[in-house]
Amino acid sequence: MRVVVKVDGLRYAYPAGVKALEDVSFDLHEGEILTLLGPNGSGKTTILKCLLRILKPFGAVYIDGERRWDCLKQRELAKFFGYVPQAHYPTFPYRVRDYIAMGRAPYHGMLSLPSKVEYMRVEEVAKMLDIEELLDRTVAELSGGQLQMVLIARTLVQEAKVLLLDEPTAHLDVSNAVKVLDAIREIIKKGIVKAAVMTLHDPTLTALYSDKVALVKDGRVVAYGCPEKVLKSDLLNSIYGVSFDVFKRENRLIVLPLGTK
Amino acid sequence: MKSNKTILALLVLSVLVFSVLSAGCIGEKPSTATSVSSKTLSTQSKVQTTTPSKTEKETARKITMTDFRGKTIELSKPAEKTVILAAYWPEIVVALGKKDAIVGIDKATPYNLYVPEEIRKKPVVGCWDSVNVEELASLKPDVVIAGYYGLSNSVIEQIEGLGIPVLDLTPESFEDEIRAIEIMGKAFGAEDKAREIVDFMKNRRKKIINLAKTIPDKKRLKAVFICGKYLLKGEILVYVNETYAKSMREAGAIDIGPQMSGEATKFRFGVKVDFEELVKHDPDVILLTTSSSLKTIRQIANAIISDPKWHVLKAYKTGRVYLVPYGYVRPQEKEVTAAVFGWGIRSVIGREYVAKALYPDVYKDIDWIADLEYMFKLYGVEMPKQAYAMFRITPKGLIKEYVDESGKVVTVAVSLED
Amino acid sequence: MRSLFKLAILFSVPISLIISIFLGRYPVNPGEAVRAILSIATPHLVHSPPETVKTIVVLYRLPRVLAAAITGAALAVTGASLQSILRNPLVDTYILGISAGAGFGAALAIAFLPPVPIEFVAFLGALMAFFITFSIAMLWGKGSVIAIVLSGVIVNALFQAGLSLVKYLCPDPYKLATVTFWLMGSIGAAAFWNKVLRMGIVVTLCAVLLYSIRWRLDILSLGDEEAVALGASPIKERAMVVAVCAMAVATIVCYTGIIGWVGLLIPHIVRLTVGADNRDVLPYSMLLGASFMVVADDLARCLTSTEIPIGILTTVMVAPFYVYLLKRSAGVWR
Repeated sequence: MRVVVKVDGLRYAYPAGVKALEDVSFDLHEGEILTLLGPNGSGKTTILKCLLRILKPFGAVYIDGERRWDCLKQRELAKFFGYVPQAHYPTFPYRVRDYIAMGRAPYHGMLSLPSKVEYMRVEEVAKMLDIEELLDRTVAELSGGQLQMVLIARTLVQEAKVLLLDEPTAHLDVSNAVKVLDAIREIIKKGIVKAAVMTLHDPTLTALYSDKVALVKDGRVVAYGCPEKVLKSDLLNSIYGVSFDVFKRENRLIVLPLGTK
Repeated sequence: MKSNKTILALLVLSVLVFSVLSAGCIGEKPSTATSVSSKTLSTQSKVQTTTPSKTEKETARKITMTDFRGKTIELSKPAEKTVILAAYWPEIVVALGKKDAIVGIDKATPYNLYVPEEIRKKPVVGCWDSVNVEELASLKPDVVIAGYYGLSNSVIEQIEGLGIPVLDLTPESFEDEIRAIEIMGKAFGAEDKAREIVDFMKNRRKKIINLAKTIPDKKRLKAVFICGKYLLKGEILVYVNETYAKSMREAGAIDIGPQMSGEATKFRFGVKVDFEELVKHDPDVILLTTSSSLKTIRQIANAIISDPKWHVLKAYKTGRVYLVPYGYVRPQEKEVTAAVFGWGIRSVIGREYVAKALYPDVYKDIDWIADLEYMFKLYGVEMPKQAYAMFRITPKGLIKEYVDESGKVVTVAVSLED
Repeated sequence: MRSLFKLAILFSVPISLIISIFLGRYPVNPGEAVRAILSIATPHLVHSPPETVKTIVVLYRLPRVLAAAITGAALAVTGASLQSILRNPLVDTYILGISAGAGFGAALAIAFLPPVPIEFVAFLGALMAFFITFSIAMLWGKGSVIAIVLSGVIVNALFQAGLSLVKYLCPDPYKLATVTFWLMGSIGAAAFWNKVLRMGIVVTLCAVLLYSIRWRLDILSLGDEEAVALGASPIKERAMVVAVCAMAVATIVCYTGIIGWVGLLIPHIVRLTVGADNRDVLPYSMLLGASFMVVADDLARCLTSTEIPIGILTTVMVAPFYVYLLKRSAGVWR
């Protein structure tokens, strides 16, 4: 399977000197969902922000094989990575249609506006994600789950090759969380995006939806690989301080938290 | 980049420090320094005014006055030292022949050419809210004179708390000015001189009022008094109740100010009026207040001459827009003209100036220049003959009229360039 | 519904402009007013009305009405832009410290520098204040939103202190009063063709610039992280917008003084009626700001024989309208 993103030795320290990431490395293959799993403050969101160059780290990131990450202009990078932040309501009550259309920003300079064709694409994407009826509402009227889907739609309109999702299930109830994760799996299977990296803090969902897992603790990747190899109860215990029961059921990996024993 | 940062840091730091220091100085309340001492001194002040053993002669010499607040001030004898924290009153005290009694002045007096130089060099104690009460007390005045732009009530209280009597003589009318001069005459034991001045003032004003009665109704002119400084901003501020407006009315003009401003005649100061109102009423004469600086006079003239919409006014077309200088003449200023308006003797000079501007024929016997010279003699101050001038604006430009050394009336154009 | 509002705002501008030419304390009948204007353009075809009427209409009302329109448009469009890039709908045009700078400059000019025109020094003061705000925010605050807001607050305080200092040091008590009155806003002070032209040129340039990046303002309003992820350079772009707004506002403020609330509330009203997207908010804020100010100034100069300070009128006019709109669209904002 082709490597779409190769992260090699990412290091980042905040301006105050506090070390946030130390020697983070992993590969992202085509068709893969990679989950960065770890407790709060472990640095998984920092990894995403470094990939997006919101934060400027040391280390190398290879995109599509070549070491182009450093040489890319921000606009070019934006055509590759699609950022799906945690669902939050924007300051102004934009219409959903316009909000999704903002994903076209990397294809425009300061002066140009999105075209009719691009707005047609917005409709297509909305249909694909089954959120067509939301298009004429304002973002403020949406529920958390709907907002998350809208944010994903934005990256699809952006024609991003790789999605970076920060806690896509935070603040969502079970049905919405499942809907979102199913949607992500769907668009990867259909080849609309090549791969996705998402941060999750829930090992159970991680086990159900990931092709690869990277366990992150204190800014380091302590384990990386297939879920069966990484989601071991002793590893999880050392990270979370809580015991887990890990087993397979109907060929699916189930991780259940047991308590603080 | 690093040097930029340090330069900017120094700049911002110095501005911040400077503003904090200055704000600190502004906020400094003398009351906190003197509140303790005022308590101890107040007991002493009571002793000062009521000495137990008094002979009849001494009680006769005691001076009792009521100031404009209605407060009774008693001095055991005429004041020998005074601090004057008021506009214009230092001129009066000098005119009363008591300039030696002035030991302290307010912030504005050093900028008043009408006050002899030795007085301008006296210690400056402050004005309004920022009075250095300790400095004032250290000068040991017998009385403090407060007045227009002088002292706020809280500062007056502080000073009285130190046992120093304060005469608040803030005038609002001609009658107030007379009373103030009489009170000051009493306070300094110069009642004769005060009477001379007061008689002179009353006399001159009466003359104008009497002559005004002789003007037939159909010859009366519509006039308005406008603030020249506001014109520089493009706004028209009309005086309705100030001395300026009153001087016009006493001289027999029809003051259209109240008509232009409607209900606003309740206001003491001036009211802003739309330009179209001015055109609607189209007065025969327009009077503009200005400072005595030639620079300002030129600016105001320029503002009108270069603004075509003023050219439709009758007063402009007939060259009857007059400039009336008021306030202080600054000694530091290079080109000045005599200021004719202000409280005190000046209010009569100003009235004569205005009367002459309005009806030069009716008031041809009034010699405001001679009266100005009389005032200057009382003040012990001089100005060159050229400075006793009347300025007016005509379509051809700014014109100055004055009387030269030989007594001839000279009319000369004033260039609008500095 | 939205299109109805858009049309209404669009038409309000020519309607208010035209009607305002007929309004004034000096009695001018509509026919004369029309002839006065036409006789300038086509002197041979149209018989000119009496000199006085022509002067009033062409040399006073027309420039004044245009000055009002330009001022309102400038305040509204810069308010809308600043609200977008600072991600705060409660931002007023004066947040950058410009008004305090202008006031300080004016006070300096009035108190100590008689020969220099007050407006020029006020303009310099406004620019200086903005420059300090900008420098602090960019160099020390890395150009973040909160840095801009905070440095604006500091600069405001700084120049207020400077203003107090000038008042304190000013030896002439008459000038003190003048300083206070200068700070009160008035359109009449700008009712001269040369001033209108200067304001018009600068404001048009700035407005065109802001209008051309109206979609970009939407992107910037998403927040620095999302903006970067979409390929923008928020710090640079924010700096540019802030500088353009400052230029426009400084030019207005030095002529008209400080007229508050317009920059804050007009964009608000536009968002509630027309939608939050800057592709609509920017142009319609300009239009509504212009007609609003024209109407307010009409009231200021025509209602009573004395001129009502326009700051009072703008506040009184906008507040109830805004409350009504807020009630109608409760829940749209979160």
